[in-house]
Amino acid sequence: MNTQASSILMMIFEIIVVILVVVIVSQAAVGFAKSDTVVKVNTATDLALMVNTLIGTPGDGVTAYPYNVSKYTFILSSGSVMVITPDEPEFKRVTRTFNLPKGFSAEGVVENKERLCLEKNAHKLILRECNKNES
Amino acid sequence: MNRKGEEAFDPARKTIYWMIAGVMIVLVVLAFSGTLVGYKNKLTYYPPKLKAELISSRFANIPECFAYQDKISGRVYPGVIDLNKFTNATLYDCYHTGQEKGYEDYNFRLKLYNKSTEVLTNNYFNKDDFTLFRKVLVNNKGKSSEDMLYIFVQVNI
Repeated sequence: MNTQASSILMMIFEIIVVILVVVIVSQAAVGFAKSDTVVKVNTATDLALMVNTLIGTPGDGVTAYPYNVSKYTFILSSGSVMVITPDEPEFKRVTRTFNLPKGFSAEGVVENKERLCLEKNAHKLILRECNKNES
Repeated sequence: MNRKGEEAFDPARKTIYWMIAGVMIVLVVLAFSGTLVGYKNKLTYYPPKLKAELISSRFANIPECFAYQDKISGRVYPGVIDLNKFTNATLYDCYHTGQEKGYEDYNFRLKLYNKSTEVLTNNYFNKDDFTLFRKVLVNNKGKSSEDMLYIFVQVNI
């Protein structure tokens, strides 16, 4: 191969590599911007903290989550709260744990509802959709 | 260098150039992903003291923990600690972490300053990350006295 052809080939290769790097970095940035992982993590953390707050409050009570969460499904159990979006792989689910006192239990599934309420009723914590007068 | 020598050096020069360029590209990609991860961590950060405050609010507020409850009326007195309940067994029922990896969770050492008694959660290994203070009343066989509850927090090990 002569020198000129070789240098043109190298130049094309260099341009392809630069374009590839730019595309990869842009894809990563766009993927990060579109991802709602941060929202899910923050919501799961907020709910776990809400559970701890209600547990530490004497008597019964209801607390409403102050954001629209209609994009997500929530599963509350005695020990954890999970936030998922439909049709997502298992590894993308976000779970936050908490520790309940003996005799307490927690349960509830809320699917794609705008308003989310956490209720403490004696020794039971219930995650449910808020009633109209609660939000 | 004559022209022949320059031509012979050309492939070697390109190889060196691409080795350096490859390292630079890898560094840029790694730095970029590091920035994204760091930014994500910043967005999801919450202060450990906040969580500790919220968890520890149960200790002096609910009868399942140490809060005094009148046996006849059933009334709970938040902020009043029943000294009879201030034991490791009650604390275990009130808050305990998993047997296997509980050390990764928040653990506590609670001390009543004037009474000099203390209780520990099941995975507390004397690594105090910070301390919270709470003014409480202590009920000892019907007599109340002021005290300070020291809550030593072990975030994780």
